[in-house]
Formats: sequence, structure tokens, C-alpha cells
Amino acid sequence: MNILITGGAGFIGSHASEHFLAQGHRVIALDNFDPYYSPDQKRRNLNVALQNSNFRLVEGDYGDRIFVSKLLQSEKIELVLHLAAQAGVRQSLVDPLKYEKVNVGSLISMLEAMRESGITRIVAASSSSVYGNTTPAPFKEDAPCLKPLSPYGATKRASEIFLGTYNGLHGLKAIIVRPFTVYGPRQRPDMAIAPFTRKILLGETITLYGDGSSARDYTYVSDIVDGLSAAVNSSPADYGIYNLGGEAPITLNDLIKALEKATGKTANLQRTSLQPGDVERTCADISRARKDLNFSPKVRLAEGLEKTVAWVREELRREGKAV
Amino acid sequence: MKILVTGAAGFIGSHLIPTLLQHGHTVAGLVRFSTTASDSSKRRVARLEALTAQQRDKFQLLRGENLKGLPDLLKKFAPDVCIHLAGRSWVRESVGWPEVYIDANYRFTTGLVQSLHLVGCKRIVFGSTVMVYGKDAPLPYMEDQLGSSPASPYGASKLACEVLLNTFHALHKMEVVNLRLFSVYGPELRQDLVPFLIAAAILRNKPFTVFGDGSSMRDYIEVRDAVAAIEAACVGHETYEALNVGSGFGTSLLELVQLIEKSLGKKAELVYKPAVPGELAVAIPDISLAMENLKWEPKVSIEEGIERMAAWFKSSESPLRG
Repeated sequence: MNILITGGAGFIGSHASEHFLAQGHRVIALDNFDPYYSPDQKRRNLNVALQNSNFRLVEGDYGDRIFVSKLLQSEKIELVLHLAAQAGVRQSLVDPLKYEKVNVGSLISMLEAMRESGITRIVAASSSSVYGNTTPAPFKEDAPCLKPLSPYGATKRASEIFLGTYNGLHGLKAIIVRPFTVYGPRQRPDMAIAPFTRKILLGETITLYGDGSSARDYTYVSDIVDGLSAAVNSSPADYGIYNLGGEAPITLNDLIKALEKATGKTANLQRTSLQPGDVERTCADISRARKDLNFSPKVRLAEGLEKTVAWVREELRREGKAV
Repeated sequence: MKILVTGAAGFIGSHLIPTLLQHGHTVAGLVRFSTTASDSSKRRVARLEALTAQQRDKFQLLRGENLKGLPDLLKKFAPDVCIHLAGRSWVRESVGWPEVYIDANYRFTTGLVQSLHLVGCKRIVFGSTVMVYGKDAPLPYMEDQLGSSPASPYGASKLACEVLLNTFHALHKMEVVNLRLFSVYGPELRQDLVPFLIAAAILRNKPFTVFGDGSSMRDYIEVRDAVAAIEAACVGHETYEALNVGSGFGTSLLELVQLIEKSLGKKAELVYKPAVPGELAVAIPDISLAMENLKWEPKVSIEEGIERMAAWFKSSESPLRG
């Protein structure tokens, strides 16, 4: 199958590219190399994929309707795996218009490009942040999700609403996944695990927000890719929303302990108050994904952390910071 | 109270602003020119300009186009409450032009609410719509039973706005009232709305096209009743994630045609075509939550409301005159 992956050079996108190439699909990765975090890191993310002749990297804006329309047609795309987003909960409080543009406005332009190109399938990544602070845990997909805690979460919910509308109005086959706090090699530097690891290894101080009791349902990136793979390959339904979570939420304090164990070093901590926009906990009910997508998270936190720590060590060596 | 009204030159805004002024509020009306191109909106803008001359200390007109400049534009007026009515609201148009709807409704609301937060405005009353309900929402509509995604990009853009405003409540303690307005009608009615189209066909001796069999049912609420609900929502500090604002009664399309025929004293010529995708067959609310919480009730019967609108259709103000 010819698959367009938006955000194909990003953290999840680059892993997904490799996965679908290994399955024999043809992958067109579309990425604008936005400078929200290092474009160099994103280019390195594609080192493996670029060696495959079934892979093509296209640099551009997924919200450019005419450009995307041409791309969809010239590459005979059959399915769009939509992973491009403006991520970052805290920054969304500062510049909500940017999040509106990238996460909603651009999506509508792409959906219109798909419509005029006759492409009827999309698998799109939303976010666990749509649940906000008011949904009872464990989070179920049928919760109303009308009150996220950040503009980031609100824009992801808006994107889900529009995908639902396009399904009803134009017959777009849309599978939406809600990944829960994804971590692993190539993780974005504004998230918790990889940057924490980096600081522990370098002996730098980690700033912890809140009393450490906030909890996250960390999910290893290969498990997320497995979930995406099931959604792409089996097309379980014309429309559906699926949680993809690791099924083992842990508190921030326990995460630090686990990282100390994985690195063999003690973390220097500095505590400050919880940041606006940060939810208290995320916790997925994954029974729907288990049933329809045969989804089952395989990588336990200890193992995932080990792999992440190994990647961070490699990165530090490459930067000449031997640890 | 200092009240900012967006969509000041729109249909509802043109009724709301004189009412707010009458009740002693200080009002600023925000107009965006890209969305106010029709002759009637130009006329309404002219009327607002006249109002600024008459009530210099009580009313001002703010002209905004650039979203990034909005905080600066609003800083001086520093509203206590914003009534947000601006946006595009034609279901059929939104199916063909979803990007325009995202821009006019969702993006504008994003810029507006962030600006309100930055200038310290504590309360926003948002004109949402019946179109946020999905096709499978149980009838009569209850606020917490949305059903599947809205049937049109217009409805989707409005629901996305509700979600964003709820987020600003959760995040910044901004007080939010999302009013889901049903089919508002009355003098100054927009020209794309069904009662206008019916009256226009009758007065111009043209056929009126009925999409479907004419049994499709809407809740028509007279604009004075809608204005009263909007005004009531400005008071207090409670947040309501959603309140249905309708008359509480359903009227079929054919019944509406008959009422307008009667008030204009002339028959319509009807042509039938298949139903339009994206449009709901029945859209009737339960309005008890709004009645209870806003201490408000609709007062104008459909017969009385249609008579008043018909008088406007026949007046010198009417775009249908001559």
C-alpha cells in the first residue's frame, strides 16, 4: 500500500515509517521540519528509513491544500497516517493560534485535499490530553471529552470532531488513536523521560513540577506503532476512536526512581509547583483497542527505560559528552 | 457592566446592542469587515455608527481584522463580559467551504478568547448552535447527549469552539456560557435563513424550493427571546458548558410556509427537491436547563413572531421591498 505519513520525520513518525517499510509498504514521509525542536534530530531520525528504496521524504506543509493534493495524486496514496502536530501542552497556553493552525486548520485543508483526490482512508493520532482533568479514570473513549485542560488538548479534540463530521458527511474512513504519553528512542526533548535521562547522566538538575504524585500512563513507542499498524492494516471499522496506553500508570516520583535504577545514578531534583495545563493523571482503558485492534502493550517500563537510556547515551556520545 | 459584543453588525447583534444600551450597559461592538459584505450588514454598520454619535459615552464601535492585534484593540475598553456572536453560520456553505468556517469560527474564537484572557475579561457568553448535535442525538436534545459528530463543518466548528471555551474555564477559571441557539428569526433576519427565503420567494413571485418533503422540524425562536437569554447569561459567575436556547416548540417547514403565507397575505409556489446531505430532519431541544439556570423563558409565540417579521419584510427597511 502507498502510505503518506504526515510528521514522518518526528518521534513516532520515523518509527512508523520504518515499521511500514519493513512490512513492504511504500512510505512517503511528509514533514515541514518545524523548529519547535531540533530539525537536525528529525533528520537523524530518518537515517534508517532513507536507506530503503520504498521510502521518500517530502519536505513541506501538510496544510498546503494544493501541494498535498498533487502529492496524493502523483504518489497514488491509498491511506494517510496523520501524525503531524504542533505538540507541547505548556507552549499551547502561550500561543494557542499556532496550535489552531497546525492541529486544526491544516487538517481541514488536508482533508479537503484528500477529498478532491478521492482518498478515503485516514488513521490519525489524537492525544490522551483530550480527557482533561474531569474524566474519571481509567479513561474510556466514550467519555464526552468536552473540557480538556490545555489549548493543545482542545485542538486535538477539535481535530477528532472534524474527522467524525467528515466520516458522516463524505464517508471518510477515519480511525483515530489517542496515544498515552509515548516515550522511547528519538523522543521529543520537551517531554519527560528522555530529557530526564539526559540530565541524570550529565549530573544536571531536573525540575519537577508538583509534588511528584501526578501520574502518567507511559507507553513505549513500539507499542504505539503496533497499534497504528493494526489500524492501518486491518481497517477494523469505517470510524472509531481507540486509546493506546501502556496499562501501567506510575507517579512522577516512581518514574524518577525507575530512571535512577536504569541509569545507575542519583537524580538531582528541584521541585516547583504544578504547571497550568498539566493534568493530574492519565490512565487508559484499552479494552476497545484490545478487542478491535488486538492491541496489547508488550514493553514494560523497565525494559522501555533501558532502551531509552541506551539511546540517550548514544546521543551524548555523538555530541562528545562521554558519560 | 462593560460588555463587548462580537458580530455587532449581525442579525442578533443588531437587536442585542440597543437592548443592552437601554438596560444601562456600556457596550463596545466589534465588527470584522471581511464577513460583513451584504447590503443589510452595511446598513446595520451605518446604524451602529449613528449610535456611536448619539451615545458617545455608552457605545463604541471597534474595527478588528488582525487577530494578533486583538489584545491591544480590547485593552482600553477592558470588558467585564464578552458576548461572542461573530462567525459564519450557513450549513450548506460550510460543506463546500470548510476552511472558511474554520477560519471565521474556530480560529477567530481562539484569538478572541486568548485576547479576552490577556485583557482580564472574566466572562464569555458564546452563541453556539443546534447544529452541534449529531444526527443520532436523542430527541428532544439534551445538553449532555450530543450523539455522533456534528453533521456539517459549521456544526463541527461551533462544537470545537465550545470545547476550547470550556478549556479556558478549566485552565484560567474564565466563566463560560455556551448557548446553543436554535433557529432564531425576526426582523433583520439573515438572507440565507429559511424564513427569509420563503418570504423572498412569495414577495418576488418565485417558486420556493423545499428540500425533502417539508416535514423537517425546527425550533424557531424569536430574536427578542434569544436576546433575553443572552442578556440573562451575562449575569452572575456560574459557568454552563451548554444551554439549549429555543422556544421549546417544533414547527415543520410546511407549517412555517403557511404561517408566512398568512402573514404576507399571499400563497407560496412550492417546488420539491431531495433532502440536502448534512442537514438534520428534526432539531428540537429540551430548554428546561436554560429556563431554570438563566431564570428566563421564551415569551413570543410563533404566530406573533412571524407577524412581526412579516411587517419588517413589508417595511421600508426590508431588502425585499420593491
